[in-house]
Amino acid sequence: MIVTAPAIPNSGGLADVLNVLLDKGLVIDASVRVSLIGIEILAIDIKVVIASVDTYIRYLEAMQRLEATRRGMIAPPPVPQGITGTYGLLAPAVVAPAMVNPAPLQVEEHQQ
Amino acid sequence: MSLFLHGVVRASHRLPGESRFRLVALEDLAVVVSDRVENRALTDQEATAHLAGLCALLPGGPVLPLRIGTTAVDEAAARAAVLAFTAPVLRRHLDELDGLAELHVRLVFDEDTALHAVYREGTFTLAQGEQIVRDVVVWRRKQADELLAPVAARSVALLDTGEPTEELRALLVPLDHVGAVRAAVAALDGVTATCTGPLPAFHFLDLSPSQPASRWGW
Repeated sequence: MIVTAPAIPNSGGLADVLNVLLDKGLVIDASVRVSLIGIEILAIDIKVVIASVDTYIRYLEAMQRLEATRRGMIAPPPVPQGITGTYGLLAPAVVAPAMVNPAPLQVEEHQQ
Repeated sequence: MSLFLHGVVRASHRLPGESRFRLVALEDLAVVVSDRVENRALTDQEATAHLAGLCALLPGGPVLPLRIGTTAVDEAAARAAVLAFTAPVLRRHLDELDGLAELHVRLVFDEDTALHAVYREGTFTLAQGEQIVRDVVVWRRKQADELLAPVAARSVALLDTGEPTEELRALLVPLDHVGAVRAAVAALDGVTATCTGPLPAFHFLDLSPSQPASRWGW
């Protein structure tokens, strides 16, 4: 089948997908005088990261703010701490809205 | 001069004009080669050029990409490389992938939306934070499945980007529908989507033998 192809992706886009294609494609048995040469993949490996503790903490804090909002409480904005600017593990102090409960009416019964 | 080997195509494949590639034919198959400077390590630029060259080959017919950085000492070794595969299997793959291409789609979901979707009460420990991330990933995968189901029949989830709210997929789409698929992806609601391609079908090659080599399964 011969088709009219859309534009070839630009090299910037291809550089982005390079890290997921490096270990793909057909591999030929080296016994037929074919060899594989490596690429400096250090820069590419760095892009492949897993969710880190920073992410866990960030999501925890976001979830706590959600919970506070759902309960109708006002959570103060977090104060960044540490070198990376994470907010810390401790739950922020939750400030409940000021409520004034009327004192129960006390009726003195006079014993006669 | 040694050679870079880029892919396997039909011997009748039309090379694009002014291509630095050439074909080394073997019966009805051919291996796509280019000259290589001896004793030089593969660079990022050469790897990207390898990909760009393979993409440029797609309009001329199906392409089975070889692993980036495959080299041979001469044309005889390049022919031997084709022979190292089972020719009928190569022909079957060329037929199956004729007119198809791989398109990479990156979906970036809104973090607040994701967290609302997986909301749970009483989250105060690191382990629970880890569980939230896992929940977000499950939610993201399900969203991606639903969003991309009308766009392409076959898709493969690629490696994690490190961001729980980002999904990277390879879609197998007809080459002449790539423009329509791009437009459909761009029109998806509730997500920021970008496409890269068309690329050779790297993630849709399966050259593992369908039948065992012997009755013992070896």
